[in-house]
Amino acid sequence: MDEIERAFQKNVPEVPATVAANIRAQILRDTSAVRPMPPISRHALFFGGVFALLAVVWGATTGFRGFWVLSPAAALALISSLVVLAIWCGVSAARSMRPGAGNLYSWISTAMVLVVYETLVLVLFDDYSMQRFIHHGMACLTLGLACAATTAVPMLFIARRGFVVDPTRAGAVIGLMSGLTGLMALTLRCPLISVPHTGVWHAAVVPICAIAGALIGRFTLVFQRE
Amino acid sequence: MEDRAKAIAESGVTALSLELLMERYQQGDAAAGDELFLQVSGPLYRFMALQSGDRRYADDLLQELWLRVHTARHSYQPGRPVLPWLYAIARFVKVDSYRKRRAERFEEPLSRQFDPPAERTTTSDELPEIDRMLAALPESQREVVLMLKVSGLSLEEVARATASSVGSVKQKAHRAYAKLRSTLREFRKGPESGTAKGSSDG
Repeated sequence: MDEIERAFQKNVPEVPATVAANIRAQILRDTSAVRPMPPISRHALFFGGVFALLAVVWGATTGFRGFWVLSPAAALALISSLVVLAIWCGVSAARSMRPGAGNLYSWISTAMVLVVYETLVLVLFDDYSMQRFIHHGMACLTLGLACAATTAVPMLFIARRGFVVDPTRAGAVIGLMSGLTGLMALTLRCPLISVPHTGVWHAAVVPICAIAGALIGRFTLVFQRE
Repeated sequence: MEDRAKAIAESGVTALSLELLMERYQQGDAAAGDELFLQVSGPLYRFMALQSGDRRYADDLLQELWLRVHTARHSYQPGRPVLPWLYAIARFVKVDSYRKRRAERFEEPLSRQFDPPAERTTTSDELPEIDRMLAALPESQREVVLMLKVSGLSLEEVARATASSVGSVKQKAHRAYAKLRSTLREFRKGPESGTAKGSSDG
């Protein structure tokens, strides 16, 4: 046997009898039945459904003006990419709700959404005008964030029984999912397709929401602790 | 307590796998909850105690862990492995408690923050104490080694519990073993002048 293995098998601590008795008497005494959480796939499906529904509703309020100004190739590339990213993030969000469900990738997902979106913007659009950059930008950012905030409410409702292990990370994933919905809504409704406008203001919704989600999760943790 | 042990034995839950025990525990079966506790508490306690290096602190952590497991038992998905689920919660309890302790330490007077550590003794002529060997490892490597060697989890289970990939777990374990071997070599060279002296200094 390896020396390290031998060292590990020597002098290992055992649960003190009083501690074991305490746990069994005080914690395990409650024998109420609980309903297990549904499978990851069902939660991911709910997240995807909320993403699709709210992005379409917010896009429809201006008659999908953003969609109609895109060429068929650009529309297909942008929308299909955002849908694929939403599926990835939905699965990630569903996993983050359960302890020990594997990789969570919250920050990697955020970076991936940004890299994919910025690359698509650079490849698909060729307008670099910056007319009323801040004015139009702030309007889009506000709208994207409002859409994300309305998305976060049903997402949190779906995820209310989760978050038992890492609320900070789970909050970041829910924030990311909401931000992605905001980005999709802006893609569908904003007719400005200049590279600086979409690359800065539309994309900004995603990291802002992910960071806000993480902070809310962290706050929840501190609040629970106190 | 003896009646309870008898009831568990009569219910036949001792023959069930951890996954089935967990499912029955979710359904409100007290005997299954007890049996699950008996089967997994030892390794979980060792994981907590050897990582913190403080047995009394580990007692609190184990109670906190079971409280968390009990309130979060709905988050276990029937049919999936139990150990990654349990160890993911254990990791969180440990980190959360560490943060809480650190926050409390800031509020303590300075003189109490630097209490001299308890004196440690070497229990074997051949090998150094396991706590001392582990103290040389960084936190992330220590938890991987403990899950693999003390708790007996597989690489896949450790990866799930630590929310990382199998490759990353293998890498951490490999680095940790290399460091542990060098600690052992140093100990062999001169326990009085090397590791042993370091431990008596604290």
